Amino acid sequence: MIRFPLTAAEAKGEGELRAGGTDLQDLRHRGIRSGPITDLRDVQGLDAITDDLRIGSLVKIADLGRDLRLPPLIRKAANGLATPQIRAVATLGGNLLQRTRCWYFRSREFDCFKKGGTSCPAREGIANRHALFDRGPCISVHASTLGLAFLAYDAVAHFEGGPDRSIAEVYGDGSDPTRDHAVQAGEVLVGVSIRDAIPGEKGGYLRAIARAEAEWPIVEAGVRLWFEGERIAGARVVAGAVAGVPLRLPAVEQRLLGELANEATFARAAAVSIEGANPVPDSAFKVDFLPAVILSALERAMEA
Amino acid sequence: MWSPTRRGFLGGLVGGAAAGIASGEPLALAGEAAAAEPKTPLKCTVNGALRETEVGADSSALDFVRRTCGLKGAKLGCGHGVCGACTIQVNGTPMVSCLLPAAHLHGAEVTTVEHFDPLHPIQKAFLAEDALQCGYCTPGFVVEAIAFHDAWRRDHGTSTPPRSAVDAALAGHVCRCGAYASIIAAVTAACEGKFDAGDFTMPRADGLEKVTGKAEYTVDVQLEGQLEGRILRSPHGAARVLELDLEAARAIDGVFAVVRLIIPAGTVRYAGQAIAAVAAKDRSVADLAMAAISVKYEVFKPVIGIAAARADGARPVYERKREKKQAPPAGEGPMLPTHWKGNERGPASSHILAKPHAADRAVKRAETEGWLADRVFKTQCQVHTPLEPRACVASWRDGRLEVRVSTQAVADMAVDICEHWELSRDQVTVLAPYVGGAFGSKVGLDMETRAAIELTRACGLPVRVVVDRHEELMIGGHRPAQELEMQVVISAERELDGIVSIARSDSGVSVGASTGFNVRLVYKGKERRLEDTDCITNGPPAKPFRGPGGPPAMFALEGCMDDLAVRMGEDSIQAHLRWDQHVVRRKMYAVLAEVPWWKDRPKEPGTGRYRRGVGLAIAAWPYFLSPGTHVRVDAGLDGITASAAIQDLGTGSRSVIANAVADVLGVPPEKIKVRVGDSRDAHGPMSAGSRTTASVYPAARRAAAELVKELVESAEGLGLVGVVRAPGGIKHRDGFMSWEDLAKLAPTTVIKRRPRDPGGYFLPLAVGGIAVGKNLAGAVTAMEVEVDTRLGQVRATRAWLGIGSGKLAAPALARSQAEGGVLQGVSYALYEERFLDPGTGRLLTHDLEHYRIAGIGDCPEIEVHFDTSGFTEANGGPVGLAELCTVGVAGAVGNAVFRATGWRPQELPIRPERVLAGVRA
Ligand SMILES: Cc1cc2nc3c(=O)[nH]c(=O)nc-3n(C[C@H](O)[C@H](O)[C@H](O)COP(=O)(O)OP(=O)(O)OC[C@H]3O[C@@H](n4cnc5c(N)ncnc54)[C@H](O)[C@@H]3O)c2cc1C
Ligand code: FES
Ligand code: FES
Repeated sequence: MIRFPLTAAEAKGEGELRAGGTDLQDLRHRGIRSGPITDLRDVQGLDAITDDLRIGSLVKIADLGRDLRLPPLIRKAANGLATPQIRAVATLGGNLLQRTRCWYFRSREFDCFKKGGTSCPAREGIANRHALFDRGPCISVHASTLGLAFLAYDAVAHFEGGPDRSIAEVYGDGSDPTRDHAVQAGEVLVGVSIRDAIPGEKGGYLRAIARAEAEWPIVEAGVRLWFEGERIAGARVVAGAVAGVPLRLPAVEQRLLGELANEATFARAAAVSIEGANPVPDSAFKVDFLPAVILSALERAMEA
Repeated sequence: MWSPTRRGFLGGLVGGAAAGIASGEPLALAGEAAAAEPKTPLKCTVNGALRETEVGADSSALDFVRRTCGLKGAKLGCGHGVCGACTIQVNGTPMVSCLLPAAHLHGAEVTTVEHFDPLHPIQKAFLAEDALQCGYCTPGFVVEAIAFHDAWRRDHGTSTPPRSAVDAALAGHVCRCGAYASIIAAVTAACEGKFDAGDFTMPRADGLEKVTGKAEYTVDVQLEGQLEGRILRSPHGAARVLELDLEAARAIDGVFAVVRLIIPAGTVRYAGQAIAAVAAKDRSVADLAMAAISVKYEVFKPVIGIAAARADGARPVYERKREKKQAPPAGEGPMLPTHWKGNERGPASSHILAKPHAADRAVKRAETEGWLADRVFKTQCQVHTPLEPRACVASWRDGRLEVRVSTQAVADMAVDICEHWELSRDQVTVLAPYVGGAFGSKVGLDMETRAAIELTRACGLPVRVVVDRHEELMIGGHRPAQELEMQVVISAERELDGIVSIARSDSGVSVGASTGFNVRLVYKGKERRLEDTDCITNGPPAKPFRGPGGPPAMFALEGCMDDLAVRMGEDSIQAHLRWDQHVVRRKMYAVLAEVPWWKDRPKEPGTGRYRRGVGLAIAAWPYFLSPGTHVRVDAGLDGITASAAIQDLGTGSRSVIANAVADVLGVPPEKIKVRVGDSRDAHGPMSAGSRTTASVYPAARRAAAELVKELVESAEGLGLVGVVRAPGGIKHRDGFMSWEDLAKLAPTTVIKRRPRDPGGYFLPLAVGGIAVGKNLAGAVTAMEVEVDTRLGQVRATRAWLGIGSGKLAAPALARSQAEGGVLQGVSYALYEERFLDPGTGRLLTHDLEHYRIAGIGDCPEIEVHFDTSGFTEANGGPVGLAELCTVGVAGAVGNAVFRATGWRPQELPIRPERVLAGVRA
């Protein structure tokens, strides 16, 4: 079954939502997802960005990357993910609500919590692309780059016919191994609003990868900084590919507040990012990467 | 009619090899998944023409353009958005069509590669720069690059785009042949307006077909009544099939054949091994049939990895002697005899003409004097994964079997098929006009071909079997993982005193991986202990991969040599000159010494965040050829056509033949039509062991010379007076007549065998149709890297390859081939690694997202220096370079990382996490 509702209201209910389809179709072709589809193709009005930074859920990632009204972290994160041909198809909503790239999850040869199973095969197997913060029982990491960028804004997600939720609420704490987010089936994300962008704020995004381009990150991080005079008046630091949800790192932010933006400050702050890390053994090397990536993202923010 | 084989379907115990994934349920294939039931209307324009049809909910835009519109230029490479082979433009924007639902094209303007007629400047640039090899990725690159070019010209005129802009635009494309350097050159030149007008050269004989999407690969074949075949594979690494029930599958409407593939004993030795195959009217019915096959397994814990194979009490992968004998070969050479102990086979020693005990004594001596490098290296399993997956369309009709297959051995394949199914040669035709890459993985009669033939035999209709990327990555073939204990001794007199190389390989269920052979080929001295042990595991069988054994061997050996040079305080070129007697390589060192970035290389490891280093490694490869190679030339009303039963994998054999014949006739190569990829033609070699060019070029020249002779005689016979040979034809008393015109009057056919090399061969007789030339071919590779010591990234920034090639039969293509070899070497050194789940033996790197191949941004600047001398005894002809160009790269990268950081990588790939651990230690 496939249906093409004309409004978001009609889209609610039965069928798995399909926006760009770059994630859903991959899972369907692999035989991991099946069942009816509710395709958002004909839904009008969800593909705009307004001047007060409400972004429709069907806005393409490529468009996020080019819109100069958006704060730097959002643009940099959008331009830094996937490939041009994916960014031209994939949407904001689909990116935020995509499923994990864990190789056990994406193979139909394995059962796992996220596919109705009762265990996490990565725990017994090879888990070198997995959690630095193991919140169990599933040790996959969240895939969304935009998720971490919007988390840095405490952005507000709007749902058709339902109350708004913060991005943090959209993801939950990652403790439910069966899910990648807390949005229920049948709910339609219509947009995301950025409310606390600070004029003149700086933003930096970076991922550690082996190749030059187009690779899923070992660790990725985004930062926002704003200033009073020379001193850091506010900071948001978020990390991806380290836990089952995008993570905000308040301890790092704390270390930045009131400081001068220099290497020593950045290094001290980045160092505390791994407080509380309890990696699965195969991914223990990520403790070397998280501080390094945050440090680099902070430097990037200052370059811009 | 057809006689069912009496020998049973499987030759070897594991069926000589191939087979992949899947539980009792099928794996779906992205992109070309058959339309599922619910249909939705689709109206759009495709290349300007209005199209109205219905598409399934899950059918992809790629499926729509390929199957509904019949436009086969866009290719299915991966099916999961990574490779870009499927790229089309939607309203002018390039998109991945494999993940894009067809329904989303509603109301859109779709543009595919076929639209660009006349040629777009980008296509001309791709042709002129030879920015392609097998061509499978080319339509995707072209469609993307055209969009980039047009936008660039609109915004920037003919200014030069920076490399970073080109890389970013093409970041979503993978070229497994590694044509990136020329792609960058092509896109840049086109943006500069250099191909807006005017003439351009086309060095590749089949380039035009490839840049326009017209080249028909096996995956593109569509015969009347063609069925879709699928292979059911074991999801278990070690098991026994207790029951296999095919009846329910046979009963499904639209299913035409279901055949058993697993041997009667039912032994499963690796996940992905073929169990059965189905042929159905389309993909979705085939998938239903796969799901309806019921298999009952007794499952065992698989042996995964070298340590598990050697562990006490490990379950034997092969139990009986007879089974061991039938284990498939991992390499391409003859297998050295040895013995088995548990799951270990070996050590086999490459001690021919070597003195192992002298090597042991040298190591002992080093305790008191001289220098000893003593290190353990580990290399990973690298899969071939050519962009065109394994594919076969077999058709049995009127007592004749026609097999279209993506293979690197049309002639041998025909022989194998005849033998296997007891057919006569005139009953079997093997066709492979275009092959989307192979690298050693497509030499044999593998399971997709066996399945397609069995299925067509069972139902009498053409059957296509194409594996998906998951299957390709699983069973398509790989370079074995290795553990190498390497000891190199230098005497107090600074002479090379001995080498000990003890290697263990994990080549899955296959045997005969060899490193010792490669170590034997380099450096003077016979003091060598060279031992190879196969550790047999429940992994899929390895296959020969570009320079089998070479890259790991040179990574280890050259790592030790570099270590010694550093400790002895010698410059690396000086040290190599001291130990290396190879004539051509000695010339190369002199050339390299003058390369500016070699001269300016940092002499000490850096201390900042980014550290630059330059490293050196050597390579050697035998000069192989097939003395039995024939080339045929037909000259007649249709012009001049040269042919041989060989294949062009992107290696350029079409151009080699065209150039050879054209050179002798004194005409431009475009005048010569070339037919390859047809087993009915004059016998030619398989493309393996770098022997195609060396075999075919002299044969083609000889055939052309004979043609000239006969045409001159014909001219005289026609009553022309004063006939003398002239470039492009003959002169006679009354004027000039071209060969073509003459041939129209006097049609002539000649077939000639490759002339023998005047100096003879290393061995008096050809073994298995292969002769070994007297000279060893040699190469020197230098790499420059930049190491980011904070984030662990190693970037290969520059490469210099000096290579003894003999005569260049097709210079532009030789360069492409060499650049591709360098790129693949970089990819191996830094990124690629296959993982199997230790508990089940199932593949974890089942897509190109998890199995990582170098992209365009990873391509160093590559300089290739060809030394065309040194092979006078090779008929003054070319020697192969496909393997030579890649063998030394990982060693040079490793040494460059050491020179940059002072940390010597001993494990491949040199991933960021290894770099951080190493540099911080
Ligand atoms: C090669 C490659 C590299 C990639 N690299 C990255 C990367 O680095 N970082 C990154 O973040 N991503 C990356 N991706 C993933 C890509 O960004 C996602 O596939 C894409 O963003 C999904 O968007 P879509 O519109 O296509 O979603 P779809 O596939 O249509 O949907 C994805 C999921 O979201 C749900 N959904 C979609 N829209 C809504 C809505 N409005 N309301 C409720 N639910 C909805 C769907 O039901 C589905 O479960 C990569 C993908 C590929 C193929
Ligand atoms: S086939 Fe679509 S990206 Fe590879
Ligand atoms: S030419 Fe690019 S994959 Fe072969």
